[in-house]
Amino acid sequence: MELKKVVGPIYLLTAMSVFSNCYYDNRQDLFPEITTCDTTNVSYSADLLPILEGQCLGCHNNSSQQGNVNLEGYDNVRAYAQNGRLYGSIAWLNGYAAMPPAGSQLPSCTIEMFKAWIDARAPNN
Amino acid sequence: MGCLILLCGITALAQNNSLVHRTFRGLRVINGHSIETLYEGELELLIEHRFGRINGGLYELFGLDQATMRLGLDYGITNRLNIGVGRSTYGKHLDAYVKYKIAAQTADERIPLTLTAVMTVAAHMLRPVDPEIPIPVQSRLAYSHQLLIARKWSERLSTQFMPTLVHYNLVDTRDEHNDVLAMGVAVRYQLAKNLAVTAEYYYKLPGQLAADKYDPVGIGFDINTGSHVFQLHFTNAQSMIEKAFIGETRGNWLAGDIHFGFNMTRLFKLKGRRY
Repeated sequence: MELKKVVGPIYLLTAMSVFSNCYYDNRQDLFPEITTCDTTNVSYSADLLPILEGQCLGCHNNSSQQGNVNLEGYDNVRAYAQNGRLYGSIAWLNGYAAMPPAGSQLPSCTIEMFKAWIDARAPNN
Repeated sequence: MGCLILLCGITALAQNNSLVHRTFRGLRVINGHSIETLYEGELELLIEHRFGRINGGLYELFGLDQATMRLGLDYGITNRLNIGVGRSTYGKHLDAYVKYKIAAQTADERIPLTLTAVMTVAAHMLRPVDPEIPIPVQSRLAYSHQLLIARKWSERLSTQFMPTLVHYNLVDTRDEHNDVLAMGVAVRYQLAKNLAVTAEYYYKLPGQLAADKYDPVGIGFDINTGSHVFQLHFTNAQSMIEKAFIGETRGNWLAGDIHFGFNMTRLFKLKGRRY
């Protein structure tokens, strides 16, 4: 058989094995939630700021205000906390732009911590 | 597997008969692949844009204020075998694919269909939410396998079916399936010499993923200008890679979660005749 004629099937079979590194995981089992989520005394600087820095400020900062949202600095964050858009987005509620985008929502406990802080009138603590 | 080798045998016989060309213009229909492949030595730069949701209203300039995009390079190793790489802003995905045209429709109808297999792999590059809990490498990965089946009915009309399997190494909940089966259908209708209308829809079998993950629907126009193909379209999917537009489309077409977008390509011939 001419080499050219088998090259195609060989590529196909190689690609099929390369493109099949299969795992069957889900987040519920792989990253189990902490059974107790401590939402008392949520601190802006200690609890929430690291999340904002790691997950949000990359796109929503003073120089690059994607979606016209700027979360740099406590004053800005408080504004979005008070108008409901911060919680609406991170909880992926209808009518709000789901954040972070791309299929990876913040863990439930993180969202609950934001909610507790917003309900406590978003103190600068 | 036996069928695959048999088909390869058939294509070997068909090499002397004239092949049907330009079933679709361009390597993509709207979001997903078409059966078309690049010729050997051709390199194509693909820039895909999807803006935000039209129902964002005038404040968001109907979505133009928010854009996601994918930059891709597609290359023809042979006339039948193509590879490609790309990077999307959505989820900071890196993706790669192999595409092989198993059989090509012939003018004399001995082979009535064009069959192309596409295999993709994509990995999201997002940082872990909690730096203490790293994301395992395999959890970033998703694969898709498609057998594209197309027929050019006339100079004006082409249709394509896309049976698809997407595999997610990591899904959100225990109830969601890691293997997602979908059937895509696409149509292209030539309106004028350089203008065609296209439509694409992927139907996911129900019960595989959460209810807020909708099926992607797109309608669009292809404008052809020689070495460029411009594709303008409306779709509820904001991403342009299989694992995302099939399984992560959160836009509900009926609620107006529609994104305007375009694909733009530029072809470079690395081998053979130069412009």
